[in-house]
Amino acid sequence: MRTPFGRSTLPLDAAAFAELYQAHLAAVFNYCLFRVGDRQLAEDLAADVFERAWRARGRYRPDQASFATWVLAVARNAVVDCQRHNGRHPMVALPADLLDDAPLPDTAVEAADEQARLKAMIATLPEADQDLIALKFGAGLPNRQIGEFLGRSEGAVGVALHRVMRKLRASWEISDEVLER
Amino acid sequence: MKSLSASPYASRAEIMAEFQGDEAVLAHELLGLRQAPGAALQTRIASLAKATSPRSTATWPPWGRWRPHQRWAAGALTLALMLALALAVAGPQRVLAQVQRLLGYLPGYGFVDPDQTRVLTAPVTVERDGVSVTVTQLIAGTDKTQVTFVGEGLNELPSDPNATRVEIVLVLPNGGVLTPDETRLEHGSARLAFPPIPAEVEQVTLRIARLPLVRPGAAPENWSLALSLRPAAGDFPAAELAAPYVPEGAHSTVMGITLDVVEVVEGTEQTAVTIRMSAAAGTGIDQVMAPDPWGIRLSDDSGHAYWVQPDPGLGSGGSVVVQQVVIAQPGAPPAPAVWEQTYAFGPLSPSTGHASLRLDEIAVRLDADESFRLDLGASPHIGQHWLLDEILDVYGAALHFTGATLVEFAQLNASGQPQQYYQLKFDVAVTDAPDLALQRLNLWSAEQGLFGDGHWTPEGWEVFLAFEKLPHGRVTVSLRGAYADLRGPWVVQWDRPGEHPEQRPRSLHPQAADTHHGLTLAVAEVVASDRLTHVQLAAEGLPAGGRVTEIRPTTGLLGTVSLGLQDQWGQAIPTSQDVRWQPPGTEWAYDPLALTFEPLPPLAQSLTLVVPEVIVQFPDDGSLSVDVPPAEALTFTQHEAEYEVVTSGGDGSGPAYHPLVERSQTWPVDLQMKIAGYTVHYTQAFIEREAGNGWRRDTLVLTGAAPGPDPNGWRLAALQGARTQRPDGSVVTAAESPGGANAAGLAYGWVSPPAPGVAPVAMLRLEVNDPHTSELLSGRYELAFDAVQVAVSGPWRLGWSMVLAAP
Repeated sequence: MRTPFGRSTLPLDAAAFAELYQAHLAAVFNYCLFRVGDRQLAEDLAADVFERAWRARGRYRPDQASFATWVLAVARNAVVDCQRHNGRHPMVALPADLLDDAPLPDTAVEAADEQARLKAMIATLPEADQDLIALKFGAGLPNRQIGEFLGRSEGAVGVALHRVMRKLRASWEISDEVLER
Repeated sequence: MKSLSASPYASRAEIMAEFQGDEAVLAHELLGLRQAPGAALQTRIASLAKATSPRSTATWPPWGRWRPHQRWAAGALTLALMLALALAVAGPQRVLAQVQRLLGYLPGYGFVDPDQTRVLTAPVTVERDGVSVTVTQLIAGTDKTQVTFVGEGLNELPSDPNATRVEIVLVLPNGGVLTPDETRLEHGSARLAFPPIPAEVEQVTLRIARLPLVRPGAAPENWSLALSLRPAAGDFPAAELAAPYVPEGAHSTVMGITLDVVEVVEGTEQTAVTIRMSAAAGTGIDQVMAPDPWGIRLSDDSGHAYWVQPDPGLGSGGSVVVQQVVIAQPGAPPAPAVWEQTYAFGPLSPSTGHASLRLDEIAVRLDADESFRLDLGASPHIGQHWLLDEILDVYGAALHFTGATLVEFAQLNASGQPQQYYQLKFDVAVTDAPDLALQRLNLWSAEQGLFGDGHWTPEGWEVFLAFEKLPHGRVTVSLRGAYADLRGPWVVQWDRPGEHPEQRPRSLHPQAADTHHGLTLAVAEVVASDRLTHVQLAAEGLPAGGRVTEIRPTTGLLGTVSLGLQDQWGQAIPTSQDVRWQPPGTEWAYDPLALTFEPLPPLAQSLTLVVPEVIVQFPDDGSLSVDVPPAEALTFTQHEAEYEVVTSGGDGSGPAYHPLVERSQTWPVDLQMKIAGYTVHYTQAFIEREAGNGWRRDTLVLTGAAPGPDPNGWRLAALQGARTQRPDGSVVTAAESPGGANAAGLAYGWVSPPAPGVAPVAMLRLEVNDPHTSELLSGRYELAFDAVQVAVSGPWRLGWSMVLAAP
């Protein structure tokens, strides 16, 4: 809409924020979920992210970053703050047995469903790789925007993603073997 | 409205398409970890936003250029929309089902089936240590349970704007716990929507771990209130429980977008109108945006125009209707875009048989697939310019690319590290189509580009493609979509059901005038109807080129005289917020001299209007030079902002705080400017800094003692910047900027009004960043001003008789 003086100079106007909130909630929540592995904590973080974004919306400069990049940067800071607060312990720890090839107790084998395994493996990745996975599969950002977010080219993001997938795939196969024993 | 929400995220299918073999299996598993955010989270975010939304408690300065104030005004609008979104969690199917079996509409609650609804047997109060909590209302319907409680005795207790975590539950007799899906918080009070209570349950317990927005430990905690329910049949007055109707033939189609009035509910407190906007297939419109609520105009044929009602808070039974359905139509592409939403207005005049709803603009996202190629050569260099003559057509609007320049810039990446980027900045002339105004462009380059964007700024359109590495060779510039405002108007008219005895508004032109400080206010017209009392004032004795820009509600900051209308018995007639006078065929424009009050009492024969103070704007010239020191000479520390942020809506009694801002050290200045007979003398300066990831805004602030009143007793209130010449020679002018006096880079100044025990202060603010790099731009700024605003105090007392007013 135009202001009395012409077009609005603030692209992030009132209605736009409401639109954006709706459009980005799922991505922010899932980014947080992938980073911390716990739904309740991810909800807390997502709420915190939008509160921060709401408070700071006047500072958002659409000419300098997309809203997705901006709000996910807020989310990343919230995750880092949270992990710092929690001593940087991953919220879902991979059972040590799963890593060192030691046989798992039967009860643990029964409890380890596919998703829990995957979450646990993500939690053991380096932070940068976790971030990449969370941006790609949690938030669903295209490589081009991940590049914008991380300050890397689209191609570099593709290569990094391929590497982390290979790494994850290898862990997956190892844990498959462990579980089959 | 700007629309930024074209999803930047890849769909599941798009992500899966990037992987093959084992990686695809893993990608599938990874995508399986995704979860949908819960309804409670969505509600929580909406309530957090509400609880933290800033709202100014000060009505000063009057200039309208106090940026935080503007943001707060926008915030109020956002709240209404976010609230709407909060209830959207019900989902389209549920809402549609609800609409299909409409039985009644209860203001403040929504659609209700009285036969299936239970209410509180009586309000329940629990008091502890001087603090009381009263559950004033519980409405247990088939779709939700709405509980309202009010805390009292909290006024003197410390508040905590961050204490927004809601730990309030309803406990069922079997131990089951219901958590709220929607919360609306005020200091110590809340209105909450829980899931429905099972039909067989007759008693529930409301447990409140801590009262909302109250600091932990500051008031009694762990409240428990036993609530008994009984059937509601007969509780809802028929007048309140108005039945909805579907107006016949209420639709209008312009530019492929059809506006339908789907349903109307006319209650004694509200008129709820459900509208639907749908784009026809093949129009290229892939998204229709929610209209700006203030752009929706409901009117009747008597001359009343009705505002969309703001959220009135907990103290009132009214509420913005909160239903919103975005229906994604399955079928062959391109899928039509549909937006449906219910808006609440004030009640319609009982004596009018026709209603009309009008939308002047609708914001949409348009699909586009236009491109051209640019050859940068093998080794382009920074600063190199290419001449272009390429025209891209966007639904009749033309983008004429006449040049491109290669620039480099540094920006903080998400890790907070500066990173070098390159941009192709385009010279683009944008010509809107007669019925389409472009607002934003989505650009992309397949070969090397990082991202691209185009948007309007006060300095003109900024269109660019960004690159991580120095681009070279052929670059394809692709336009993939655009956001635009389509111009209507869309006008939908319908007949209201039932009898509407005609009662024409009375109009008269009384001889009533009063003069203070050489300024005369006179009553030009009074209109009295069954919905309002409209008083049109006229001002005489204004300076050349002068106009009244505001009628102040009090004299000075804390004046004891208030704006008001009263009858011959001294009975006050409140101002009206939800309706205005706008005779059919006239266009509405803001007029500070048009006042709207509630309808007159039946026996009102004479009226007195009291006007405490007015703000007058008139042209005059002044200039000022000010030096901004280099960034390295400045040291920034955190300070409390001068403005106050209130964390609750309603009556403004909620907790308030001063946000923290970064501010440099203060340095002395000696800057004088004469304008309109006043001498403004600034004696101190500092830089205020706001910063975020990759951007920074530095504002020079000058302060000094306020000048005294002029010989007429008129006090300087504000200064309007007209021109700024920056140290680098660049110039911003109000005349050449579509932003006018609001253009970024222009100075704006104001003078605080007198208040007991506080010396008035003159202040001036100027953004001092390089518009291209966001770096602080030090050096000399030459500022020119072309108008002032002054405050003229009354009170003016205007009295007249209504006896001669014939219908």
